[in-house]
Amino acid sequence: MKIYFDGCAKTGGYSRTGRVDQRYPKLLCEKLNAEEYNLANRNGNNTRIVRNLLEHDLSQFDLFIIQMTKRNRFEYFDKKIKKWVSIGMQTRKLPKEITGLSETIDEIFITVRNEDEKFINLYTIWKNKIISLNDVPSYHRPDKEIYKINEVSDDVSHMVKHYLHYYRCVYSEEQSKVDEQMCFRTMKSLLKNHKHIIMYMHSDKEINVPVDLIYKKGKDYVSGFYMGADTHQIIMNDILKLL
Amino acid sequence: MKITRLYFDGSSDMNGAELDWSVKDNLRFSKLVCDHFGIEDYNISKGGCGNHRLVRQMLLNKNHISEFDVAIIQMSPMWRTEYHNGKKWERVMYQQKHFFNSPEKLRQKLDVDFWRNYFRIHDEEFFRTNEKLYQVAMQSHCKAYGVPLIMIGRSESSELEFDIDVSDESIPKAPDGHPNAEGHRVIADRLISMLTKHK
Repeated sequence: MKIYFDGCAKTGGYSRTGRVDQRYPKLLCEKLNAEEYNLANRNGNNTRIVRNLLEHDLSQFDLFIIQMTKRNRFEYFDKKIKKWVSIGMQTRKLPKEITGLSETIDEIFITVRNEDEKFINLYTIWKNKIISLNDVPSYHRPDKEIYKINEVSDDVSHMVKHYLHYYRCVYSEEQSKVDEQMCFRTMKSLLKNHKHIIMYMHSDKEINVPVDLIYKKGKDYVSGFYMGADTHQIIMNDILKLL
Repeated sequence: MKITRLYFDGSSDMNGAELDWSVKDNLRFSKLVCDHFGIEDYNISKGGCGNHRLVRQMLLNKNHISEFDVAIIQMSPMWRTEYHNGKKWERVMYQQKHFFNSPEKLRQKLDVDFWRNYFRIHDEEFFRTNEKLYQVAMQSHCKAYGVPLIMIGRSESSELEFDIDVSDESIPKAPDGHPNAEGHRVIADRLISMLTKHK
């Protein structure tokens, strides 16, 4: 038996505790004596999930477990590095040492992860300067976070300005809800003749489509960065009940 | 299969661009096909639209695709897209690899600098993959509901396979490259032939 998984960090097993071996895909595959084929990764997005389905021979798999992600994320193809790049958005603190203000403020950052890489880079703009922030898991914060000013290439600078403008001025919930529905319905159509479960673990927004399982932040799983090992056990049990 | 209802969607080639505006609805190939089968023309195409709109309409249309006998889709140039401005969907047209600041864009209050950068940043691979994704989305959706799908497109600007290639020289064109009245007749006859074989 071979099980296909896709989603974001949660299905990738980037645990709050760093226990990647406690991820629910691994637990489920051990339980069912199945082979795990897991494409989930940090900053994962629904478009990437659909593209991955299109790029695979689905007949190779006995079961598909898809975890839909935040609908404000997407991906684009970087022509210089010849890789897909996942883009997302987070609100993070911008320290007074950077802004020169009397208090730390909240600012929109874009999150960027190149395909085949593990780390996310965060970027924002303050007074026309590109501020970059290294990727540090929450249980290590804040002591290892390092902010850099204007230490990016022209290409990255161009990309950061473009996507920050997108999130600030072009992005709308109406569009992202429609795109979420389009991705969901495409997945359902592609998987119509295959055994599958589609789930969602919401962070800041409710999902807009009828998935099989929903986990709510703060209720069903910890409200911090990613999930604890106990949550992965619960998810595995829920999946088993649906099979 | 008895043809009682056909689903037509696409961009300018299907909408009847360059036909006599006052009578275009009667000259375009969707009407000619529907007249042949004695049914009502259901053509929701829009000139200048992108493939995102075609998928959005098919997947989220109030008239579900299963209500139709056959879907006929004319895919549009892969560089086009759309966005929602909070009130309605706006087309973003990009042709011949140039993004022009036209009166249409000024009317739309389109963020020209943003979209110019969009086309600078995004590679052909992005547009080709999206085009393929849109095509497969529609193919899978139709297949899931047992609705045959006929794809129309232009091989001159796409690597996808189409059942009818509008680039084909055997389809007569108007000065700006859209099928003229005779061209619409040729496309209609090919569609009628395909739909008759489906019977």
